[in-house]
Amino acid sequence: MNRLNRGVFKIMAKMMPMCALALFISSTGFGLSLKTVLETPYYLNSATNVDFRRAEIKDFFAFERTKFPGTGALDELTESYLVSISGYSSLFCQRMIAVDLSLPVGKRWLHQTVDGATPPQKWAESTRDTVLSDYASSFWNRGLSQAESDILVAEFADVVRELPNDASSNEAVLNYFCPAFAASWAGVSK
Amino acid sequence: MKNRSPKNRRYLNYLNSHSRPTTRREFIARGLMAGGGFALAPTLGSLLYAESATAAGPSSSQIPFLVFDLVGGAALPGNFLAGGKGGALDLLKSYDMLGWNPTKTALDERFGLPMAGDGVSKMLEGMLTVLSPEAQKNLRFASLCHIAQTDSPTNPMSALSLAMRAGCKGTVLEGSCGLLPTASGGFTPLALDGPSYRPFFVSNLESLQAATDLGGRLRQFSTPLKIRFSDFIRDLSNASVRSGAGASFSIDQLRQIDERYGKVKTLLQTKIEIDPRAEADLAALYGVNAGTSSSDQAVLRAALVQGAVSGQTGPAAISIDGCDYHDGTQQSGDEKDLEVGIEIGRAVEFAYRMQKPLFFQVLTDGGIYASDGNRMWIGDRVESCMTIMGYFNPTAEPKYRVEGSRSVTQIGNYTDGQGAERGTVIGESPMLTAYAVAANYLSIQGRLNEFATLFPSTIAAADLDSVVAFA
Repeated sequence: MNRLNRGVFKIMAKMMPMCALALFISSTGFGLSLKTVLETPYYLNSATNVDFRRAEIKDFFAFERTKFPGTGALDELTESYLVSISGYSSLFCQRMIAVDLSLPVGKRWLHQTVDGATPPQKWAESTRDTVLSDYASSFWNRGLSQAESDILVAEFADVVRELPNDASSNEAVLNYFCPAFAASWAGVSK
Repeated sequence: MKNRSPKNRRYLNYLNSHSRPTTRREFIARGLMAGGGFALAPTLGSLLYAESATAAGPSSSQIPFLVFDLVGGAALPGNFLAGGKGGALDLLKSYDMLGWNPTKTALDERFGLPMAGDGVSKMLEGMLTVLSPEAQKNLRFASLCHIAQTDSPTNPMSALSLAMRAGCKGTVLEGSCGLLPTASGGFTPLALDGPSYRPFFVSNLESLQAATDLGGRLRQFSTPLKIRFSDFIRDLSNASVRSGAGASFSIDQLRQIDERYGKVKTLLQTKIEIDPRAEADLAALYGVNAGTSSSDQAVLRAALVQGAVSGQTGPAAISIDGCDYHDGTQQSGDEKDLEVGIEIGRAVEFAYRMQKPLFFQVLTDGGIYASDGNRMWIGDRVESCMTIMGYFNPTAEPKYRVEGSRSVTQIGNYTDGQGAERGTVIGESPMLTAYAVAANYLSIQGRLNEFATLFPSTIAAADLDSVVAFA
């Protein structure tokens, strides 16, 4: 029995540093980081299929890039950066949405359930949900959590209520939600 | 005062070319992270009950701060008198490499620290063309004698971030501004680097005015919709981090992320009102008008001064390039010195007209030398470096610290070799020079006792008085 106890204690003693490290990592979120200035254009390109070398995107980036994270440390999550990434991603979104809505459904990058002639106020719930989950897949590489979905659905209802009840609101509502995916935490972190 | 031991020398050499580590990667690179997981592991109690480290921040500062970054190594000791251990007026045996002879040139002491009179110092001439007699009355200078690498962005001596650390923040744009897209906003690196200290790059006036606005497609949104958008991405982010998708977060990190997203809304609700072309005093001082281009250099320099002095932005770095003027002539140097003097004068005169105090650092990377006592600058020289501090107080003449019977206008000293003495606290370290500037910035606010708390492990308490000129 004593020998068994000693063995258990030995194993526990060996595991303690590992446990302490695991506790440290789980309590501090060690390893959290942001997409850096070098990664961001490629990330948005892969999410939207829009070339970051387009003139208006390149120009924006040239002036704003100093506000983007250099190392990706959490301290680099500044309000200036968040304002910049919102604007920067909105240019990718604007281009993607304009191109997609001009294409037949089968040739679109995203938005394959959106009927350009139907205003967002009249979208079926399934259309709305598909658009939002497609954005999550594209920008976050994952599906939506329930908490995220609740917020998105509530925001969608509020925003479309304030838009004109015609087809022109399609682009407006998409241009509101798309950059929000890129600029929210799940979009800027990696 | 002395730092001659080999150990100190190695430390100073290291400091001279490195900023203090601030990021995880930098700590790892310096071996400071090894084992840190256990040393720094928080207890459950500390996670639950500890207040945010940022909650007890430094006191705020109401004194605007500017850095004039003279790129290339200007002849500062050719304009300001460098003296020996007895102070600026303790003349060296010779000044033939420094471009003037103070025994044959009148000393102009109206700004405390003697400058080369008789029209020799073009920096003085430039300042006097702009400064009103009233502004001149309450402006004082002090020098710091130290070496610095020439023509090199490896001297971490910009005190811009130290001023921010001491509480110099803007009311609208909290951070600092600079004219170059670098981590310091100028050519010379920050003494204390870190993401929150990096200046906002002002490429044109519109970029500064739009610093508190969403860009791209989102600019077309109405203001209420922009505010709504900021609330939305904050809520969405909170939902993401609290559902813990892909990572776990400490309480401090959750708070930090929420605060940053919350600040976006604050930023969008404020408006920067900076346009020197529409401000009569600035327009006259900088020679600009409504028709001047928004990316004109004079407009940008004026905008940074307006932002810092008015308190809308944090401190600002104004870089003046072309100061590597050792082309064998006097003309290039004189022209650039005149420009530098005018820029300093404009900033001080604007502060006077706004009745605001202003503290500034004039720094340069290395120095240059002449021969035969003329001002035909012929080459770079590490030892001919110097940093100048300027303090304008609209309500009273700035006071110097008194040592014995003399006012201290010079920190450190030059030697008879016409170069900075390396054995002083700051002599070999551009970085400690920046901290000495910060000590003076605190001193004029009566906050020198906060130095050790704000800037630990830099200048020792026992040495602190020796680097303070302004009381």
